[in-house]
Amino acid sequence: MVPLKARRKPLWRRRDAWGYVFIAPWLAGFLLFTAGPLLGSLYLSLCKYDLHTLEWVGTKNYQVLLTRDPLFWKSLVNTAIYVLVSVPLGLTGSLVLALLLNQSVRGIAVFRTLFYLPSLVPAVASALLWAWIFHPEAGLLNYGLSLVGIRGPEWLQDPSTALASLILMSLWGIGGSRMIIFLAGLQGISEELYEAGALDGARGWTAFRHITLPMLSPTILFNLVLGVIGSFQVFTSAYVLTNGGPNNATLMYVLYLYNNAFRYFKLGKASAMAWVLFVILLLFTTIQFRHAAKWVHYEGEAA
Amino acid sequence: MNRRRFLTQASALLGLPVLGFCSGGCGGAATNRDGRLTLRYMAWGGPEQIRVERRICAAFEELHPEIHVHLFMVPGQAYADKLQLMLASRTAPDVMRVDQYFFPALARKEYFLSLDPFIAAEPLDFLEDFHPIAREEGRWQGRVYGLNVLWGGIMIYYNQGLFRAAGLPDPYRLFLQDRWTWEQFVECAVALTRKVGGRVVQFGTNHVLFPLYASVIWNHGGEVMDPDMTRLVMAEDPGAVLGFQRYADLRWKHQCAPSPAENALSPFAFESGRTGMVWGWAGETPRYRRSIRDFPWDICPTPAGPTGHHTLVKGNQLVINRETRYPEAAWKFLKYMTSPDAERLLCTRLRRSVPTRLSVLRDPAYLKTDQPPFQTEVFLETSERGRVFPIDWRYQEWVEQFNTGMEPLFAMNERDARSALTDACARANAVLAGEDGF
Repeated sequence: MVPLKARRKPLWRRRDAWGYVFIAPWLAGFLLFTAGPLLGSLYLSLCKYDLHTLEWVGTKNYQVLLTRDPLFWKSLVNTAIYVLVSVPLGLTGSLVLALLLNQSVRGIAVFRTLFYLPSLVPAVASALLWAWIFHPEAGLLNYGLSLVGIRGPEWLQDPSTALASLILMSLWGIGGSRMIIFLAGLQGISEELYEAGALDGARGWTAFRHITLPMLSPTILFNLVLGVIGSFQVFTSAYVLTNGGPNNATLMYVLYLYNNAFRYFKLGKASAMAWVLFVILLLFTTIQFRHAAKWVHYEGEAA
Repeated sequence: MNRRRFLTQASALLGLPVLGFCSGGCGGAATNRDGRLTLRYMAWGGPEQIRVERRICAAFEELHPEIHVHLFMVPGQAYADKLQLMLASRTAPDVMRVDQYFFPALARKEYFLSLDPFIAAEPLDFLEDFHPIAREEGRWQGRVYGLNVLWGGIMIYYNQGLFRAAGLPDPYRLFLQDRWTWEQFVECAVALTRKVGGRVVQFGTNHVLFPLYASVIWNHGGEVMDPDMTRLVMAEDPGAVLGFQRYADLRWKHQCAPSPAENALSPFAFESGRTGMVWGWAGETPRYRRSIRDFPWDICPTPAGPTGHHTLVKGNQLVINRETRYPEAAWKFLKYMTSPDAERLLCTRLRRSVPTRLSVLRDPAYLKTDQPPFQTEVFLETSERGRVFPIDWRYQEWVEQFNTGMEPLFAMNERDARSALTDACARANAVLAGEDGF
């Protein structure tokens, strides 16, 4: 018996032809505006490019960054400190807020709206607002401290407190989308689990520790991964409030990348920085997913 | 469906957005309007500046009815970025204003049309009417690429009301008597500083970023760079060290200038009436005229030092895009924008700058005014005592490194001038010695 060779129909005769046509604009947009620039930046990272002349230099941009540029390391260390402190604080804050807003009290919808509102303020506007809060003489923060007899520091002007100020400001976002995701996660936990736990005497902290946290762990992982990626990319607060100062104390990685790209027009070096950041984020995300198996529990998963 | 029909319909569907995009965005940058040639001109400035520039453009169009000037102003802070991106993407206007801080870097990339052939076709003494310093600023490697506009120097704006209240002599009178020295300046600044309950409510002077106070270095015998502009020499120059230390002393020793914390969000801006003397460009005048209503103010030169009486002068360059389709028309416009007529409007009416044209500078009408500042001879003084700062094509990067290196002296009071300069110059010299592009 001669095997029947399935002959592929030409595109215009296939049922899915129009599907391809309709996704074509998105596909073109993706290739032109996402994949294209992505590959373009990889190529540029191997070149010396100042918007005028392009010269192939191989891996020299990477070598210069890693071996000859102290500001690269300074910005990396600043950003790492920012990530290490702001991500756990932010996650905890968002979770606590979500737990509070998950209570069945009157007017809870109003509270949820109120706590979500700050995240709707544009980043530049909130940075300017915080500039006033941090004002050493007339700022709300130092005024509050003075009420309890503490002389507040010069938050943004002192290199020893400037980075801490940016971390403090990052907590402004705890009521944003991260809180909403936690809230959705909390509402997805079945009441039956708490009822079963209560029968075994698990209430309050015990219920939180042994029911809420494990059931919420996929959400925590999700927020952790996004939080780390977002914090490594911190830019607006440093750009608006301190512009990297004083004495490079708040020179964040992406701010330094921006300076290289759009102030010094070293676009090759800036592209190399972008790819180094990509590798760092890939590494962190891989580690997080590798370790996730130890603490993330999915509903229905075998124990 | 047959092949032809499928391809026709799919192409029509996919082609629509492209057509829509093109109808909005494609096409030539400069187009003819009513049979006239349209010349695009980009600049930046405040509302007063826009009004005056529009008037100059209108006057030019009257003289040259065949040319229409499309003036567009870009906010000052975004100007440099936009200009560089437009030049790189070959969408830059025909004529544009460039701050001297960026001029060498852009001229080096050959973005501008050399003006030498146009100047050669003008009368022999065409350049003679320009102030020599202003003329030189527009040169790059021996060729003229820009003609100077909005030129001017650093001067002291002072609050006459505060001087009178403190019983201090008028600084301009002191200057005329050759007594406006650094010591006298510090004395006035200290006397003008006022504390209430341990908190400073009024400062004698302000603190500006380098290189705005370069005159303090020069007037103490210091130099900024070596003559070849290859490295900063301030760390090993005793005059420069002294100048920097004295400037820092205003803030930390005499406490007559606000610290960064005290000056956060600018509570002591000159307009507030809470600062006796501020260092600023001639170009601050229109803003002060607009915003100061409740105290008398005027201008005087920067103080002299033990070895000199210089002040920093700098301008902007008016340049022609090398890619322009209308070089002749662009030259006509550029020539008019830097003509005595235009300078009279910019410098006399707006008082935005010091004329680069000697004929305007020497014109008695230039000195007449019915609004402050009344001591207009100071504008002449700045041009006579003016000195240019060494701005090379890597200026943006090295000055940022230098200023960061000086923060332990000026922002944190943790080091003395010599130690801070050693670090700051090392940082800046590393940039200057480093390979271009990395």
